[in-house]
Amino acid sequence: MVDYITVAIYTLMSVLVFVLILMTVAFLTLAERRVSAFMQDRLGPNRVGPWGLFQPVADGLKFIMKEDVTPLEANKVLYTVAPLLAIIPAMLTFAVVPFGHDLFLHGRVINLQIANFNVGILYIFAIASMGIFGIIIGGWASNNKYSLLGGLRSASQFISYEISMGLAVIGILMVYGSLKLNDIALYQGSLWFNAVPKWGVLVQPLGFIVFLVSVFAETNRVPFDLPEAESELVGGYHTEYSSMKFAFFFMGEYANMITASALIATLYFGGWQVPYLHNIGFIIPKLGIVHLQQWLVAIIEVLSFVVKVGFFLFFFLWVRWTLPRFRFDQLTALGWKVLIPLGILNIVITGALIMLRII
Amino acid sequence: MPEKSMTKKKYNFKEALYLIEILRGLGVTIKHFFVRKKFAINYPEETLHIVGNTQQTMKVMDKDAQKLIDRMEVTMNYRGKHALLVDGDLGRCVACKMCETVCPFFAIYIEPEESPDPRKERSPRIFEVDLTRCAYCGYCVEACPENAITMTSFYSLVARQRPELSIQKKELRTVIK
Repeated sequence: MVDYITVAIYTLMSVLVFVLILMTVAFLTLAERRVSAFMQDRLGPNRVGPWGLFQPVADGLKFIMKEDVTPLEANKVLYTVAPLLAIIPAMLTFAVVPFGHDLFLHGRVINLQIANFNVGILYIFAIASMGIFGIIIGGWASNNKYSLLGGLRSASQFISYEISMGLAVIGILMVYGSLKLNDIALYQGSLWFNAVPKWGVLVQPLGFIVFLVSVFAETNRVPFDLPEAESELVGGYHTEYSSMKFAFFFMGEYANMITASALIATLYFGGWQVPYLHNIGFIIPKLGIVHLQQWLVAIIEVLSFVVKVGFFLFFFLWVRWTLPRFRFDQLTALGWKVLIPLGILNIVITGALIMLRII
Repeated sequence: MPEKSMTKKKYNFKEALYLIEILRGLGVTIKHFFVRKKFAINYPEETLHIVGNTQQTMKVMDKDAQKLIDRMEVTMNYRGKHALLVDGDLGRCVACKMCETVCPFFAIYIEPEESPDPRKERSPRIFEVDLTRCAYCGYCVEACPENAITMTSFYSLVARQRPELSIQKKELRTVIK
């Protein structure tokens, strides 16, 4: 029998998450401009509303009002489908990211997660690689050499860095022994030597660096934003795009950033975990227990997740305005000659540490 | 033909590792994020003070632009709206038309008349500067033999209609002691 209330709760939750992601994307575009301005001693857009907070609304209106141009020789169908292919996987990936401990409500177990798959990480890899089709198809269909080059660059970059990303994640899987992201987040609450929480970044420092660099490449962000390298390729894969189609590519990039930040937070920074916080409250070894209500714990956990994701979103912007873009040969050299060997090394080290029962 | 070769800088281990250098770079950007020097001016809400530089004295360039912005002042040698200097009650301009001649944009129009004051022969009956034509190059200031025309740091040149930007002798007149 179908439990309609549970279905309703999950539906509501997914709609809420969807809306929240879209909102975050909108404000990220503003944040990017403001943060970049602050880092360069400028002011940034501060005219629309208080501190420029309504700038995304103005931008959205502008995108809707603009003329939607399709190049004459473009493949009309693929040209239209590509932006959707870019944004849909970016949105879908967030489905398996947990943002809180399981809730127990009147005999029901509610995961604070849209879909608690037992193949969580594999799902992320599978769906995230779909996003690349949008970029390649968009680059090819617009019948423009720069777009095509951007798309191809994106493809080769993605192939190179997906491997190192996978290798880094294997280390995590070895330590926590589960593909479910919720389990991984849960295990990170357990304590190491009865004192330090077993966060991924502490257990897997090398894997964290490999993963972080790969994620930057996967999301096409600076310093690996070669697919859109505006100084070389005009606009890269979205050179020909205008109006809402361009906005979809743009939103796809930012949605990818959100998912990537959520992944970094979940895999390496304990996800929704707050150190020493358990289902019943804070349990600090040798010091005692602070009891908290379930709803309060849930709120603290969701907030901690949001703070972590927010920090990594800021980190994405922060890095963008610090580092220059890599050359393409440097990019592939870094991927194949540095990150993949490091990823394998990380697996070996992790294996040894597990054998020695240190982790 | 001499061979040209580029020598690549040798990196020491710390630089070759790159990560530490990235962290240093991140430090620089975050420092600017939190501690910002003020350069931009929110124009309609904040305005720069126009300091008295209507006198044809030696204009000293303020080397430290930041100091000026902190004091919210326009630089002394800013070329803004023109001024015709008047010593006490006697206007300096003798309507020699030097400025009108040198002006590359034909922004100045002068009609001379016999001076009512016995201390000089000619004075301008009409002295008109069309600010919509003017490019604020300052040639007129350099050409003036009497140091009569000068440029102020008045920068807020806005009008609702074009004729308002064609300014007359009366508006240009600036008395100095």
